[in-house]
Amino acid sequence: MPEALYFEDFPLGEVAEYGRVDVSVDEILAFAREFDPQPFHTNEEAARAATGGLIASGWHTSALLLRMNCDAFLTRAAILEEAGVEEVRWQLPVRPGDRLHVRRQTLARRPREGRTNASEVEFLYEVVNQDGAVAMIQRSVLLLKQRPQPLTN
Amino acid sequence: MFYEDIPIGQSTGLGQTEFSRKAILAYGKQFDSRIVAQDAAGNARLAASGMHVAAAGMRRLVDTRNALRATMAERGETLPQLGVSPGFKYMRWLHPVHEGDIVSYSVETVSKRETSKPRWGLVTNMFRGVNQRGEEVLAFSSAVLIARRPKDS
Repeated sequence: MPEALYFEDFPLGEVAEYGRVDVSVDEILAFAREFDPQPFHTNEEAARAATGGLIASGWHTSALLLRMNCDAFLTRAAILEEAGVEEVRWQLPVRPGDRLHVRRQTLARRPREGRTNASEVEFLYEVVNQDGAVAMIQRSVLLLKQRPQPLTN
Repeated sequence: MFYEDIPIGQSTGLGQTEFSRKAILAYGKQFDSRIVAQDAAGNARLAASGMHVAAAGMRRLVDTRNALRATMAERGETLPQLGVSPGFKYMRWLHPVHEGDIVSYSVETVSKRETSKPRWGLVTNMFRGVNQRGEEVLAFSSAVLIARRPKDS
């Protein structure tokens, strides 16, 4: 079992880059057929006219960010609460053949009222493509446990 | 439905999604390994990934809109062009969605305004998901460009 990650492990301003996903036609189609069956996500011909070719559903790009975050740190983070997502912007289309990774920045750290052993961390995640362009941003907050202090006498 | 036809403050039902163990685990295997960990830990009732709950709501929206477009097409009306969503804000997962839960989705237009692009208006919607016990499990705000009614129709 890898060691847990606590509030102290995410210093203010830290930038971390991780993850790699190669986006395939089949995955775009499979996701869109289940969750977002609009022509520019499910039909290559219709997509050519509408969006210059097939593009991934924004919900798919969000899911790929989640996968890369899980692999990089979320499964190990001592999360007490994950209440939601402050903001998501799908700012560039994600297309078949794109190679994505994540750039995560620690935007803010703050105490939570009524909590002495946990604090909030606000992250900005950028999903970056092979050209270095940011296809999507997500801003969200985790309530993380503070590292337990060793017992002293 | 064109920009001009969208009423403010009226909630539209988008139908229901039942979250099966199979569907929760399938999303988890692809995108949220914390769900797989719940399963491995012998959890009897899995909780769905928050992003899964949101993506399932997108499917309800697309299906509802497609049914509406089919009705319009039957009446020989001009179909509005579909716009790509730029993202969302303030997503909240207020209660977990467990296997067997049935979520009813709805969307309400909270504000709208004309934009500098003469063919498009900006509509801000509030999406909600409520479980079979009446508890709100999902809420988020989303702004989307909606085609304006052509002058000649």
